[in-house]
Amino acid sequence: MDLFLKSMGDMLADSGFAAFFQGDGWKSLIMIGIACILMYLAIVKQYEPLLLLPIAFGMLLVNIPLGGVMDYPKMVFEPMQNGAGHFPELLVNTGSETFTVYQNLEKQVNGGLLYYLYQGVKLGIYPPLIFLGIGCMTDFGPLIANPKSFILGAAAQLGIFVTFLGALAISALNIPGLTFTPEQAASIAIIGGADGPTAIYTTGKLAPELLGPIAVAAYSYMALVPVIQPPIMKALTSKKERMVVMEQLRPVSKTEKIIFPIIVTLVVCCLVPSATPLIGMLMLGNLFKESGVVDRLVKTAQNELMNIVTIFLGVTVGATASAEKFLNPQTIAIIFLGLFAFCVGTAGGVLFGKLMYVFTKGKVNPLIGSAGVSAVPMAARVSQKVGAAEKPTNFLLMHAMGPNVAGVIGSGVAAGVLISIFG
Amino acid sequence: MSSWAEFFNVAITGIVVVFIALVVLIIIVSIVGKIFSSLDTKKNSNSTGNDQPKVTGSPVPADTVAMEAEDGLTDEVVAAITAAIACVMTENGVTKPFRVKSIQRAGNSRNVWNMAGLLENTRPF
Repeated sequence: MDLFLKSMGDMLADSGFAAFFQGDGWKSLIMIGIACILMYLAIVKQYEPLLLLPIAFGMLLVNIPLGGVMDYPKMVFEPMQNGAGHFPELLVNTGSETFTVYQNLEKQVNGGLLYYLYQGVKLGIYPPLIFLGIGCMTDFGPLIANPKSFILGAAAQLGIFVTFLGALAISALNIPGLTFTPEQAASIAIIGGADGPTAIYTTGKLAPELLGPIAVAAYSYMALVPVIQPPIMKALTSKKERMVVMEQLRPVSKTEKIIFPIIVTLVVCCLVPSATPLIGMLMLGNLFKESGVVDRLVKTAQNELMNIVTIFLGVTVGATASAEKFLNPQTIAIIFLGLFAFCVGTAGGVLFGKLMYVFTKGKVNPLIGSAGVSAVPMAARVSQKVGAAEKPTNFLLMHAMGPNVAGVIGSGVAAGVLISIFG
Repeated sequence: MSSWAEFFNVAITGIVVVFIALVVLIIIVSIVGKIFSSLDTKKNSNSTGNDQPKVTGSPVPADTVAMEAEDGLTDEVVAAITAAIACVMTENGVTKPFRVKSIQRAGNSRNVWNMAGLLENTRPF
C-alpha cells in the first residue's frame, strides 16, 4: 500500500498539475484562462471562429506544463572516436583546439508535434496558401467596375504606417519591458491591415517572437469590426453624406475578370517583389476561379486545402503564445496599438471617401471608405449596415466590396514594403 | 536604423508606394475597362443592326396591335411579359381584356428578387 501511495505521489509530483504551482507555473494557468475566454468568444459569440478556435486551443496546448508540443528537437553531437564510421561529420573550432564531431542520431530527441507544423508559419508557407483559397473565393468584379475604389483601399492602409510610428514613439519613452525594435513595430503596425494571413506572414518574417499576441490582436479586432468602425464612420461623416445613393455598377465581362489577376500580379510584384508570395498566390487563386477551366483546383483550394492550412496555421500560431512570451507589458501595448491601427485605418478610408465625395460632386458615399481596411467581407457589410441605418433602401454592399478587396491588395503591398525594408 | 528621420522616411515611403501601386492599377484597369466597354458597344450596335430587318420584316398577325418595345426584346420575351401581366391581373380579379402598347425598362431600380437577395446578405446584422 505504501509503495502504491508513493508511486501515486511521485506521479502527481511529476504531473502538469504540480508544475502549475512551481516557479512561474501560475503564469501558464493564466494563459489557460485566456485561452478559455478566447474559446468562449469563438464558440458562443462566434468571433472569427474558424481561426480563433484553433488559435485558442493551440494556446491551451502550449501552456500545459510538460506537454512539450512546441519543444525544439534536441540534436546530440559527440566527438569523433576511431576516426570515422559516423555521418555527418562537423569540424569544431573552439579557438584553442580543433576536433571533429558527429551527430549521434540514437540520442536525438524529436521536437513536439506543433513545432514541426509551426515550420509552415516560420517559413512563410501557410499564409500564401490561405491567400490562394481567398483568391478563389473573391470576386474582384466590383473593383474592376469601379477602379477608383483602389484609392480607398490605399487610404485605409494609413493605419499601418501611423501605428508603426506610434509603436516607436512608445518605445522612445524607455519604459522597461515596453520597447520595440523597428521590426517589431512594423509587425505590430500590420495589424492595421486587418488581414490575418498578411499580419502572420509579416510577423513571421520580421518578429516571430510576437506572433502570438499579434495574431490574437489581429483576429480579435477583425471580429470586432462591426463594433469598432461604426462610431468612427458616423463621427467623420454628415447625415447627408451617409445618405448618398451610388450609381449601379457596370457589368464586368469575363475577359476583364480573367485579365485582372494577371495585371495585378505583374504590376504589384514588379513594384514590390517581396509582396509576391502573398499577392501572387491571391491572384493565382482568383485566376483559377475566373478562368472557369480548373473547377477541381478551385474546389480544392477554397475548401480542403484552405481548411487544412487554417487548422495548422491557427493551432501553431496559438502555440507561440506561451506564458513567458505572452504575459508581458508588450502584449498589452500590442493590443492597444492594434486597436489604434484599426481606428486610424478606418478614419483614413472614410476621410478619403469624403474627398472623393467632394471631387465627384456627391456621387460617392464616404461610408464605403471604411471597407478599405480589408477584413473581407465584414468591413463591407459594416458600410452597408451604417448606410442602411440612414436610408433603408440604400444598398452600399457591392460598392463597398470594391475598396474591401482593394484593401487586401493594399495591405499585401504595405506588408511587402515593410518586409523589403526590414526583412 | 535608429533615428526618427529614418522612421518617418519608412512611413512616408510605405504609404507612397502603396498609393503608387494602386494608382497604377486604377489607370491600367480603367484603360482595360474602357477598351472592353467600347468593344461591347460596337458588338451591340452591330448585332442590333443585324436584328433590325428581322423585326420589321416579320409578318404581323391581323389581331396584333402595333406596339413599341425596347431594342433587343424578342417576340418570346414580349409574349412572356404579356403572359405574366395576364397572370397577375387574373389573380387580382381583373378579367377585362387588355392590350400591351409599349414595353420600357423601368430605370435601374432593383427587382424584387434582387432586393430579396441583398436583404438576405445584409440581414445577419
